[in-house]
Amino acid sequence: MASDRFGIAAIGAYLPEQTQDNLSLARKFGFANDFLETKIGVVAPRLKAAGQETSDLCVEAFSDLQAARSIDPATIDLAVVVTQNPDGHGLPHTSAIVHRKLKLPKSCFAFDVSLGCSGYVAALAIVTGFLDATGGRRALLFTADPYSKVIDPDDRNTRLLFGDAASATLIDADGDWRLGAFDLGTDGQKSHALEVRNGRLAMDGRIVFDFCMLNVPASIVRTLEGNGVTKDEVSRFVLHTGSKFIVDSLRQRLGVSPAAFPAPYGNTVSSSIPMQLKELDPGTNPVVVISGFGVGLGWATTLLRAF
Amino acid sequence: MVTERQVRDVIARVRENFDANALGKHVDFDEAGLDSLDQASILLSLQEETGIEFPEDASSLNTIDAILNYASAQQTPPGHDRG
Repeated sequence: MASDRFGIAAIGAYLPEQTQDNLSLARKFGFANDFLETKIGVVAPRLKAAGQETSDLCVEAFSDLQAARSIDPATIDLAVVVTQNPDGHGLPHTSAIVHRKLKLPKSCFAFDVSLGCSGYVAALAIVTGFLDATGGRRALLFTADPYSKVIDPDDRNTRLLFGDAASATLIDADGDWRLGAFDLGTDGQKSHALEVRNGRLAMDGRIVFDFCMLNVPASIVRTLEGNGVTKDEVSRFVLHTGSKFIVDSLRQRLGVSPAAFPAPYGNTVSSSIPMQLKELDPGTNPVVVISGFGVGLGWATTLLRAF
Repeated sequence: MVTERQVRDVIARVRENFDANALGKHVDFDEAGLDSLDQASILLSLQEETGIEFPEDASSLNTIDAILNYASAQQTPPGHDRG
C-alpha cells in the first residue's frame, strides 16, 4: 500500500505554441478521411520550439503550477523528472538542470525516472516512497518527454500520434488526492514494439494494441479489488491517451461509458494523465482511477481518493 | 476451428456500420476500408474467442480467406496433412 501521508496538491501543465497540421499529414500519408477523427483523435498536436530543451518545458509547467499555488522553492525536498528524451545526452540528468533553473535548494535531491507512458503513475509511488523513506515533506514531480526529438517525419505509424507537453505536480502532506494500492507490471518480451532505433521512434501498433487490451483492463480490475472499490464508485477513469482508438477500445472492454477524447494535443506520453487530472476537481471527483501504459511494455495503475 | 461466420461476426462487431456479410472472402481489408487498427482488433478478438495465436507480423492476414487458411493450418495436427 502506498503512503497515505502525501497526496497530489496541485498540478501545472505546459503546451508549446507550435501546432502540427494533422489534417494535411493524414492526406499525405493516405489515411481515409475519418481515420484522424475516429482512430487517432488528434488534429493539432503541439511541438516544442527548436531551441527548447526538455528542462525548459518543465520550467514552463512549473510556472503554470506557481500560478495556481504559490510555492517557495526553498521548501522542496525532491525534484523528479520523468523522461526518456532528456536534455542533451542525459548527463547530467534533466532534473539537475531543472533544479538549477528553478534555483531549488541544495538540500533538494533530484533524479530522473526513465519511463514512458506509465511514468507519471509509477513516479507517484516512487516520490511518495522517497519522501517516506527520507523524512522529506514536499516534492515536485515533472513529466516532459518531447517525442518530437525522435519522431521519424516519414513514419505514418507515429507522426500523427504524439505531441510535446510537460506537467509539474506538487506532492505534499496537504495534497487533495491520496494514493491507494497500485498495480504495476512489465512485459519485457514485447519491449521491441515501441523503441528508438538509430535515433528514430519505431512502433509496432498491433503489438502495443494487443498489450493494452490484454493487460490494462485486468490491471484496473485488480486495482479496484485492491482498493475495495467497485466500478460504480469511481468518479472518473483517467486513462493514458495513447490514441482515441485505444481509449475507446479500453472503455468498451471495461464497460464504462465513452468520454470525449481528452487529448486534441496528442499522446503526450507521461504528461497525458496529469494534464487530465489538472482539469478535475477532487471535490466532485473523489475517487479517480489512473492508468498509464506503453513503453516497456509496461503499465501502472492506482486509485486516487480525495482527502 | 475458426469459421467464416465467426470472422464476419467479429468484423461486424469491431467496425460499426460496416456490412461484413457483403465483404468478399478474397478482398483486401485495406481496400474494403478496414484500416490497420480495425485489423488488429479483428485478430485480437478472434484470438480471444478461439485461442489461436496470430504471428507478430500479420500483414499477410489481410483477407477473410487468409485468416481462415492460417487458422486451419494452426489447428491441423503436426504431420496430419503430410501423407
